[in-house]
Amino acid sequence: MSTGEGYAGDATRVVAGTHKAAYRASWYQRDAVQAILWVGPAFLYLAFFIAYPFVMSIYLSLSSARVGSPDWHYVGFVNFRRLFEDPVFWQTVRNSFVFTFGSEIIRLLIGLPLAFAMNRSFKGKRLVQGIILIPFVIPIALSSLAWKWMFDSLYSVINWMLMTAHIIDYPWQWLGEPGLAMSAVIIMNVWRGFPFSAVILLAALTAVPGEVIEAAKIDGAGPLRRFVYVVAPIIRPILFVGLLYSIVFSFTDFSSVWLLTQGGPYNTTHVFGTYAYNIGINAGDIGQGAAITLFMFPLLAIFVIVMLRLLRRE
Amino acid sequence: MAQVVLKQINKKYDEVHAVKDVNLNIHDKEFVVLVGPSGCGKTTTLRMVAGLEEITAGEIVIGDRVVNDLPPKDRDIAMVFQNYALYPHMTVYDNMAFGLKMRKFAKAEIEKRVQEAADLLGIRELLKRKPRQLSGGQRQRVAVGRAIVRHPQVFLFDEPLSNLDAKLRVQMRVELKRLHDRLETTAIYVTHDQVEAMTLGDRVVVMKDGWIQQVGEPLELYGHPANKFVAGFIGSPAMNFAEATVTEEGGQVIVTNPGLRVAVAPSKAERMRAYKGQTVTVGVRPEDMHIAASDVRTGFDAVVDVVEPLGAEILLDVKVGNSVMVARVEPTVRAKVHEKIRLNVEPDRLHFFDAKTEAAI
Repeated sequence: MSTGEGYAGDATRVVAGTHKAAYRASWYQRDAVQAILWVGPAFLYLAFFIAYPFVMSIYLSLSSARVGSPDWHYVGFVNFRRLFEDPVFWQTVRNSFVFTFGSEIIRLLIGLPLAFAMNRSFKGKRLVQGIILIPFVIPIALSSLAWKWMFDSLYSVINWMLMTAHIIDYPWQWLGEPGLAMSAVIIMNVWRGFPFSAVILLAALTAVPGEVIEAAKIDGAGPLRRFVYVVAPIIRPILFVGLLYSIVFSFTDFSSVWLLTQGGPYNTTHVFGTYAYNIGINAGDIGQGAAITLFMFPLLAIFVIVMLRLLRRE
Repeated sequence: MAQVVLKQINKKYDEVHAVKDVNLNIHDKEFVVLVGPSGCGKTTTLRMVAGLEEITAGEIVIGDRVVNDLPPKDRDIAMVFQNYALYPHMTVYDNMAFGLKMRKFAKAEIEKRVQEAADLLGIRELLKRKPRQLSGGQRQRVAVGRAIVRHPQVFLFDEPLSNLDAKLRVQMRVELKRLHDRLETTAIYVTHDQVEAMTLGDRVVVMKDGWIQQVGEPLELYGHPANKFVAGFIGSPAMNFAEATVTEEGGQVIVTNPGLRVAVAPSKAERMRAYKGQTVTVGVRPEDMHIAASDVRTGFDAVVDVVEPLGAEILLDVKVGNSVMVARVEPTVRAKVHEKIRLNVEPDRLHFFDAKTEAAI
């Protein structure tokens, strides 16, 4: 039966008062069947790629699983106890916060003025918009190579510029000194993430009606007070969501740190992702690695809940 | 309280010349309406007065100050926008108080003014609500309230009623008029709706393509339009136009075309004589056409095309010769489609326009 006939048939039967019979005739039109058809793929995806690994990591974190060893058993909270006694782990926690919030703040500081600039109309706006998005679309595996060269101890173009401008007088070891390495990782993360921040902010700004800004101008508010009292409160919900995503991405980031420093030097750039990988895969202690990744979960969960609460209150 | 003077105002964008040589003297306490089709430059003119748009050439004076280089906040004006432009995150009270807070008024004074305005507009019970909890009409009241608490020298209205439904629009129109009578503040009001313009304005400025077409009191515009555009724009249904030739028969100036034959009133005969043998545009308002007895010599024949009974009146779309006209007749008239009727027009109710310049003759 074609859909057209189906509809026509249904209609006549509804008129005839045997409404249910029409649905029994085509089983795929039933609500239950439709629900499974539409929600099924997403459910399967979430089940296999999110729920299963999550449950598995909880299970592994409570076990003595090791790479290449088939013999593993339940050990309780031993992995977590060892974690709390591990100074490198606490350094990793600290690094993760420095990395995440350092990146976020700088991204906002760059993204906000950029979004304001992009919110005006000027010649070549589309071109500029495209250029700004480039860092976001280049695969990190590629761009990190470029950054590695820029931070290279011998060939660093950044050092060359800074020295030519007489800002520094000897070549800095960007990836070799603890403080500098963290800056380097943050710089690359900011570079990769600021288009996202700018686009979110720009979307937020375009949502502020021009008339409202003009009303504020006539009401006597200058640029700063317009931003504080009018623009910022209006874009706050969008800003929150953008920030939420951005922070979660940074917090769970693996690739930019791994590709640039692999957590070194002296573990000073290790974040949760890289440290877990190092312990769990490289060192083979899967149980311990799983415990590290799980440590992120309550932190992020609390953060997300607080943000969403704030958002709902808006 | 202040007069507003626009001297030779021009606005040019890259390729568009939006406002051309606008000269306008708006008196103290006057309510002036700028009206015209979209793109006529009326909103741009208003925005130049507000300071939201730069002036390409000319001078704007508010009170006795040239305000060309003053930012909007220093011009002592308040504006009501088409989309209300309320601050969505603030309560009604804060919306109205914002301008006063920015100007560092004392809290007690702000409170007093907001309450006064709220009473005046009947929105006292809404003060704690947010804009999204208000209806369109209530929002517009708040927007007006935000303007009046400031006690500005001039009110600027940018199509403030166009987002309201028809019934509410009529109601708010009356309220705005009452408000203006009470506050006696100079007001400039932009609209594309000629009914709003006619009902609200002490004087109405008709604009088209950036030019002012005519400035005058509503009935003056209606009775003596300066050109064909104003004649057609003011009044609903619009004035009927037909091309016709001027002739003279036995000392009487007559305008004819196939199907139409009307005498020219003695008051206009002299001016019309100059057009003898030429084509002019004849204009007749729908209400000036009457059903006539079939033997009236000055009348003309028409065939009914469409009948629109509106209750208080009936609109007849009729064919006169090659042209289609609308006649507004008494509700008692019983006309049928395709019926032949005879219409008559009082000669002194006719308008004539130069076919080339479109200026009134």
